Amino acid sequence: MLRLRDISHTYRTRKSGETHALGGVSFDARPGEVTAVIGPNGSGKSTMFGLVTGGLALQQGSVTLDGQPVGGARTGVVFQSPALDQYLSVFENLAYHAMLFGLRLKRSDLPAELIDGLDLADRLDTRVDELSGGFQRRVELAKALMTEPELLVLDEPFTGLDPAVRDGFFAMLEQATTSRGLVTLLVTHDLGMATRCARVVLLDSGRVAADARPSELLAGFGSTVVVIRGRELHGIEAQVREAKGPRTLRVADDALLLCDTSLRDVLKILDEHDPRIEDIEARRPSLDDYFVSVSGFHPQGGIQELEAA
Amino acid sequence: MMAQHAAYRLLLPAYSLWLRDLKHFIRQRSRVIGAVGQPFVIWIFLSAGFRHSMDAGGTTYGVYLFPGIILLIALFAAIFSTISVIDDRKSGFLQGVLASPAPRASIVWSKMLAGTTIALAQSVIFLLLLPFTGLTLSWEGIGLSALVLFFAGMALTGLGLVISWSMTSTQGFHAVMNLLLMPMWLLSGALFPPEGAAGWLAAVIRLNPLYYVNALFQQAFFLGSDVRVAGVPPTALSIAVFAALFAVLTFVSLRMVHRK
Repeated sequence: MLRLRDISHTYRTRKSGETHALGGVSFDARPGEVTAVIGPNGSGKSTMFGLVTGGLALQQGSVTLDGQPVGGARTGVVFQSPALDQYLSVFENLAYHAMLFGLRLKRSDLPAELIDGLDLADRLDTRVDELSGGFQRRVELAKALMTEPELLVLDEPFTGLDPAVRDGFFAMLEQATTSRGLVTLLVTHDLGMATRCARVVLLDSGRVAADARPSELLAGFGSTVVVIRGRELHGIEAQVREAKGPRTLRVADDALLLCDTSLRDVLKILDEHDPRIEDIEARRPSLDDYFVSVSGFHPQGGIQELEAA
Repeated sequence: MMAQHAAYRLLLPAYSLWLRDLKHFIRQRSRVIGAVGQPFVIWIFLSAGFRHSMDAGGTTYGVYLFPGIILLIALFAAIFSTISVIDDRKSGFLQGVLASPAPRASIVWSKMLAGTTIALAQSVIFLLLLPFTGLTLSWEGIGLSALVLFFAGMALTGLGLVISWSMTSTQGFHAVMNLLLMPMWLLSGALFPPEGAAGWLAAVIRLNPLYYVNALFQQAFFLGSDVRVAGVPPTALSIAVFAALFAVLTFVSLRMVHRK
């Protein structure tokens, strides 16, 4: 079990003085589960990542893995920017990385299950700069898993991947986590991927704003939400309120989110031919909805206005 | 995969990073061509250009300049070996190394050894020009100059590492190189001895630690030959300054990489 307790971190610079990045963050991540850490820019995700991976010195609190301080050979790390050497082949990258962990690696020592699972067997002699972004990510994951860590920490590993590759990568990650009993911590902006994780920790302004299973976070949104896009949304909000309709969230200047409802119910309240409505969509709630409702920010879309009706 | 002895865990990461640096060098064709060609070009042009303009103390200017060019090779090897630290930091490779259990000292030793290995290999290639100078080296001179060059390469790479570790742009490093490292070589006695220079410049040369490294290297290089370089500082002083330079740069580099 990865246990973060009362972590606080302050950056001190001559130019901007003190910046409190984390203030009393505590949460657990369990073995065999992928735990997502999400939050808007500046929420403290990168600081937390630095503290867990040893890139930053711990100022206050503790980070332990099964009661022992984290770090060393027990931790595998996948960074946002690929930590691969572009001039070396896939095998050289793996072998040189293993040496950093005090292990000499021959080709026959490569764990076949891992290499075959990541579809790298035919690419071991290929130079990394000749691989696609998706395969470079696979090499990253192979590097991180090859040393048989107990804790795997990933920072935005889906950056630059197309949806199909991203889904495949997540499936591999999930499979490795469950089969090896890894504690996997996934720092991400990708709320679609976070929804698929066993647990989600939402950081906001350096504090834990939520720590639960995705289904628990989305419980208040019901099975369906309706998103309305259009002009003069105040009028539409008033119309919904008058009708004592569903809970309404303003998620953008031109968008309203109606929780725990159906398209039919919303259309009953609103005039079907209301010229102010440009688009209407019914869908399952996602973590994006939760994220906006809690923080008022969308992690990929900048600042959004939020008004609870 | 087999876990090795604890001591191996210290050396193996250094070996891994050293080997990686060498493969990097070899696989960058333009870098190899530049590294091998540049000292040839500089030596040929300078020795031909100043052929009758410089008093080289009883020998030709080409011969006087020869060890200085080898020192320049070590300087360039150090610069290019440590400039990669900035690229590694940008590309994310360095953070992978820092997050691994590899002792951070292994970064320092691997960089120093890689810069030195490249410098030694380039110097051997440059020695192919030796027959054109008419100079014959003694075996003890070759052995001793290889030893001095080894430590000079280590010290200069340490200097490059100290500069590059905290830098974020390669352009910035080039600026420092032009402002600090190249003048250090120009004023090391490699191009001209301090004796004939203006008083203030001679004083600056004598304050330059690379002057003592160059003096020691010249003495070692010409050992057993007919060439006598006049006006060199006492050998004991050169060794003391060189040893202090090496110790300080190694210490600072090791301290620096441990900072989080």
